Amino acid sequence: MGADLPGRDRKEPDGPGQRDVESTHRLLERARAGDEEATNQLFARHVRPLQRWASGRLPKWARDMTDTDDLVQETLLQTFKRIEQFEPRGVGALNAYLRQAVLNRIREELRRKGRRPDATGLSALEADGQSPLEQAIGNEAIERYERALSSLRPDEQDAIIGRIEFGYTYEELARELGKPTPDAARKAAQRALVRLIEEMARANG
Amino acid sequence: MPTDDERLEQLAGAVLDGSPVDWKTAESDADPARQRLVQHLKVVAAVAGVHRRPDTWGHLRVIERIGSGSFGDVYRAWDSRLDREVALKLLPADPRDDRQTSSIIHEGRLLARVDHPNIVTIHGAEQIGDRIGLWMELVRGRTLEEMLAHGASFSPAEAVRIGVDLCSAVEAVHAAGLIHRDIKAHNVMVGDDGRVVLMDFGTGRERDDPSSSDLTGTPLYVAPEVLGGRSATAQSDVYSLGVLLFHVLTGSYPVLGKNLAEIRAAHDAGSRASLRAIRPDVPAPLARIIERAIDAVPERRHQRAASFGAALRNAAHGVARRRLIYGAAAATIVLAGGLAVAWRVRAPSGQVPVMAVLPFENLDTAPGSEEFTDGLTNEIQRSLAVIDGLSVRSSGSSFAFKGKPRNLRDVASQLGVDFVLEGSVSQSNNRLQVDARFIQVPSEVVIWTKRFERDGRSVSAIFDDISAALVNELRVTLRGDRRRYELDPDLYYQFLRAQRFHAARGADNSAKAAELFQQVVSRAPDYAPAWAGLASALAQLSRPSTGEEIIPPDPRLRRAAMKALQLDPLLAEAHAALGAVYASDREWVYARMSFLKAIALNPSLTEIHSDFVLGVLMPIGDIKEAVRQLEAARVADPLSLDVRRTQAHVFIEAGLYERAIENCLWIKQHDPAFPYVDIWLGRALYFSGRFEEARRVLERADPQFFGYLGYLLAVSGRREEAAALAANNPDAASRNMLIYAGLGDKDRAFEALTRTAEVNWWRAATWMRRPEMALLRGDPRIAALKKELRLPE
Repeated sequence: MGADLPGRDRKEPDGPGQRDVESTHRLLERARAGDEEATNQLFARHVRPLQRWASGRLPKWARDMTDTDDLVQETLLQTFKRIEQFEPRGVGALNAYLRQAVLNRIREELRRKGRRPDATGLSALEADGQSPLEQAIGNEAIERYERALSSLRPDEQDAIIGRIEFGYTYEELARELGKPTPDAARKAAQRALVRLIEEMARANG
Repeated sequence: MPTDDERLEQLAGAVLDGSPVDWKTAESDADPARQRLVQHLKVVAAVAGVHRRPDTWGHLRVIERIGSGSFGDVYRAWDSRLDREVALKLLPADPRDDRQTSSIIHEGRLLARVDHPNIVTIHGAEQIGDRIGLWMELVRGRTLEEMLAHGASFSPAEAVRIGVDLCSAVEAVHAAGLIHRDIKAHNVMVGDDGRVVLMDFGTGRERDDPSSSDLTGTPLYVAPEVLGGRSATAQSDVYSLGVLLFHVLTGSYPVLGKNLAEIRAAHDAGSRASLRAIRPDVPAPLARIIERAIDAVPERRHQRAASFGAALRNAAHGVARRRLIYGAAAATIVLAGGLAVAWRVRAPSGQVPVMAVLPFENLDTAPGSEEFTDGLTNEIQRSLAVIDGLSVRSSGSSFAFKGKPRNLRDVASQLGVDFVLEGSVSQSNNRLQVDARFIQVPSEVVIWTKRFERDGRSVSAIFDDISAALVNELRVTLRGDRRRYELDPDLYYQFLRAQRFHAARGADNSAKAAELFQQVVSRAPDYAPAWAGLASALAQLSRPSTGEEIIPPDPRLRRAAMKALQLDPLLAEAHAALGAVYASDREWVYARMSFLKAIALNPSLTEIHSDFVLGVLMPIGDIKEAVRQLEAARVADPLSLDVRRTQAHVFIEAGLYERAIENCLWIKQHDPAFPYVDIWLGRALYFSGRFEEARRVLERADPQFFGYLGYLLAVSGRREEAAALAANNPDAASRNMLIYAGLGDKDRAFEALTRTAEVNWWRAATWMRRPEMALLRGDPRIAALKKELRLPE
């Protein structure tokens, strides 16, 4: 997408946490030590990208603006309450952690919605049981992608998730990964992506 | 020149940047070792594509992506000015072609002025940055293509209604000075309110713009002259409308090809399918109107969408009248036959006539001819069972009379029928001869005796002949959507053998049937009944079994069911097989819909009722519906032991123990060795408090079901014996679950249930609701497990 091309990052008007350049790593350390302000900043930084992300992972019938947004917000609040339990492995990995938390919550939600009494007859007929991601690449490919992703180093996972799934600009990605420049972040993401597809190929035999 | 590794890195960079990638070239440029990597990269690019979306677009707040295509993406968005949700379509603005950009915006604005109930309302069009946005009314519903893909079928009258609405919409588009250029089933929504809405104008162009490239539509819908390079016109839109109606009625296209070159070649060769060859029930005048729209020569088509619409509207009267004309024709025949016929054909009950097809007699001595005749009888039964207004008893019950002295009064009373069809089959010189008698019972008045003859390739035509003969007599209407097939006689014989194995049930027979069906479809890939048979046999094989572990469905099952439905959306077995697939995916709503559709299409296939009950209704705990379904099955197949046994099972779950006992005793009277009956009898007896009788029955039952005996011992005071039984079989979690429940040991019963759930969700789902497990009812762990197993509460 044009707005995300290298060199345009600085022009992006309202990316999350744009005005605050403190690295996520530092914020996380403060949050884990009980600094409420840091927790709030982390929350503000992650909630929109995750809300956007979640709409790609929920099937049409389970999606609804308020539902999805509330679901992500609620999950983040819960997760940040227990942020001291989060053990950062090396650099980053917070994205992967938060993403997993939302993914778990979505699964729970799907199960819950799956037995809604009104999920019968016509309303269900229109409904599409698959998430946009499932529709786009199918379950098998998702599984292969997820498996390969989880076999990467935490910083690699964060680079992929941040850029591919959360749509961070390279500047935001640099901040997430603790890289000095957007270009360094792009290079890191590039290397991680090559590693990812190698893992996908390996898993495929 | 970059190295291969560098090229791959560049490609990865492009994916990260979101830049467009020509995947075909990328793949072909890569060396073989890296081709796979490129393919995986493409998957990651798709993941990125799904997740990337803008937060806002002008004054619109983007909520979610709802569709995408080569043109761009469509999002659901909130329009703060209109204070409502809208659909926002975003297209990339080509920086090298300002003219194109302004033309799309201009056209969007022109369309915004078109106010028509069957055209999506466009609210505005604008370019912001490098993208053009068109925002419009958000229509909630499904596209015609989605409906077709989900197995929907449309009657001629429905197709006419869709056609009339779309012609009117396209006429309005033309009147606004535009050509649509991309009319196809994907671009027509049927809203929740039933409104037919023409969508997607992103590729439309002004009528008098000769410079634009016209190959924007899906080639199957594109008029031959446009494929040949001429500009799109109102007549080429009429052509696409005609293809759309052809597609809606048949699921296929008049001119086929796998790619543009093949489609062009097919046009050049003049090879096109006839509508009535695929859907013989489409009235000839309607077929002619649609075929005129898709004439290869633009001048011979309806010249305007409005005139096409008017012709369809006239045909609508014909479609509605057709049934009456048919009825009148039948009445004429009755009158010609004199009064004697008129009184004969009325069903004595005054209700829907009920008939049975008795096993036809085999007059040949050739090996295999007996099997062939039985198979043919089954097929005749099937072909009659789908006639509207006629109820046909299941083959299973009719075959109970095979080889027994002929006694039609007995048949009438046992099967509860008003008519029987019986006869004989012989073959000579590759000709098949069926002599049939249609008899009213119990009076035994022969209504007609007819000889039906066909060559070996046209066996299925005989079914139509017999159906037509009955239709005329009974004044019922043929559901005119049956397809006729030409099949090599050997292959048809093989198909009948497969059907026979399939009808015999049991894992070995189903496996053999699947193998034979597979052979048939590999030689006759368009023979829908064989695909349906294959799907049905594979569904049988994946049916919940008696083993501890659940068997996942054969991966061929879904494909076979889908293939059958593509070829013929009215095959009950295919819908049922798809229902089994959905059930194994625990897609309960779809599973239920598929089974109900199958039952509606052919209520005489009672194994479908049983599969619906066991595969869907029991795991989700809808016992009331299960009781209802099996009662319907029992009426359709009154002599079926299998139906009675499943019914006994369901009666127990419903607490109707006396009726369960009655059923079991009835089965034992007809076949003392019929498997598993002792289990249900034993259970019904112990729940009725008849412990001693229950023990005697369960002690002689198949020992692998010791759990029931254990439960009985536990609740009848012999707790130590029960505990020993469980201790001796530590691995049989599901069996022990019952014993622990009988012993009142909640925790161990739950633990055994959890272990069962790990290997067999179906059994866990079904058994947790059993009356034996009542002690766990209301336990919060059960609610959690249901959640875990994706079961409704």
